[in-house]
Amino acid sequence: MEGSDEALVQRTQAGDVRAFEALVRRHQDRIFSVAYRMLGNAADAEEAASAAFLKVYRSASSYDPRWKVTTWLGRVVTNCCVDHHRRRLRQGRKPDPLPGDPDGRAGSPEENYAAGERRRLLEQALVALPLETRVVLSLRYAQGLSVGEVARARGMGLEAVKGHLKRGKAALRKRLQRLGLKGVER
Amino acid sequence: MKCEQVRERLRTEGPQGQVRTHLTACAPCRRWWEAEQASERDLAMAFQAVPAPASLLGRVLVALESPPLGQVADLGDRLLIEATEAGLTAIHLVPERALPTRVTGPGRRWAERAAVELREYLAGERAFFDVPWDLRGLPAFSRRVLEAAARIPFGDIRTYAEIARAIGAPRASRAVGNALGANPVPLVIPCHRVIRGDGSTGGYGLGPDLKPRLLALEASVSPFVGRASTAAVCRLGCDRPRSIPEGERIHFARLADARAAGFRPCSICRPHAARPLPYGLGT
Repeated sequence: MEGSDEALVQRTQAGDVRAFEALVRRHQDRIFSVAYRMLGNAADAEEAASAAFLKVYRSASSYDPRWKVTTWLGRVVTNCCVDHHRRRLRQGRKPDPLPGDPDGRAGSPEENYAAGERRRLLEQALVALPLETRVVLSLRYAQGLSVGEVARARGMGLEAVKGHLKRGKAALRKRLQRLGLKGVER
Repeated sequence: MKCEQVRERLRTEGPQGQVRTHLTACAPCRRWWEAEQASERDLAMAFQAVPAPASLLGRVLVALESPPLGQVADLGDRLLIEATEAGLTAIHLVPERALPTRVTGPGRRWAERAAVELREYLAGERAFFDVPWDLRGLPAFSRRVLEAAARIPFGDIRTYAEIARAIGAPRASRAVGNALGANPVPLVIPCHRVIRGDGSTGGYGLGPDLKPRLLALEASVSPFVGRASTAAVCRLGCDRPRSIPEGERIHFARLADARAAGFRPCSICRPHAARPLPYGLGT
């Protein structure tokens, strides 16, 4: 189904389920990615992402057209993930191995292995970050929002967003260095 | 141009014009910028898109048809509440739908308020109770135990031994268990948040199968809600955020997260005034 995000949301407001379905299809990978990066496993991410889409459908009438749809979706999905976050802690689940490995197929097996390993270490480092920092990083890098949009989605000041980004990067760098990998390569 | 300004501009606009000239001349800034770009690459890699499972869309569409019922929401109609003018004295779970209160006279307003708050709590719409209790009929030891349990935050858990230490009776875990088991006002005093040291949930006055369901309910609800336009953060259940449209709501797992994002605590529900029972007391 064609149409801008805003048009799809407006039709969803009017109860058009097919427009909603098109909206889900268009955004599900990014929304799932945000949830996956925040929660660290596919089962919780699917639960949080579907809760987020349900909320989007039920509260479509509260969508403010001055917002970009991606910013609004970012807010809804991160709220759902914060709700889910504690359940994961309680059950002490560990991140799953990534579903599929879209990494550097063109390289040699050694290169592919090194890249996969590096990403695995990065993911471990991310899971160790504080929740709000993961919220901000996920919105910025998995949902692809600008710093200003992240601030808007999470109701924060720009400086607070920049602080989280800076702390997140510093923590990743430190972790990689401790593991003997240089922060700069490739 | 100072290095500070250059780095700020680099972050927002990338290397352009004057900034680029500065970079060719200033080695520390160049190294800083290379490290910054490497971090960006690492983050892009760490946050690489993961395709949504094929089941997601179907799951959402099925859920549209069938509004989810809270696992414990139906309990709200089966609670029988007793109260005096000082506060709640008893909450019973009855097999069939009950009248919400069994009080006339001065205790009635507490019982009625508790009935509303309990229903909201069981529906996942409230994270605290604003009704006093009246434990005057209980032994002093039981009162100390229950008052300690009342300070366990929503969604948290403590062990029987931790409660024993909190009230200065570290060897009385079993007596603590008995006092909690006889809690006359379950849910409002959250004795379900006290579990065994081995991680199993232990007994519960309202039924042992209910205890893990209550813990699961609390673990999947964020206790703090902020409103983006006013930057105020409330405890879930405060009257103030009830009218917040979905697009304005921000959920927080911890008050500290809300404060760090620039939210100030609501002056009505006063989320900052809670004195949570600490973990690992005296160990």
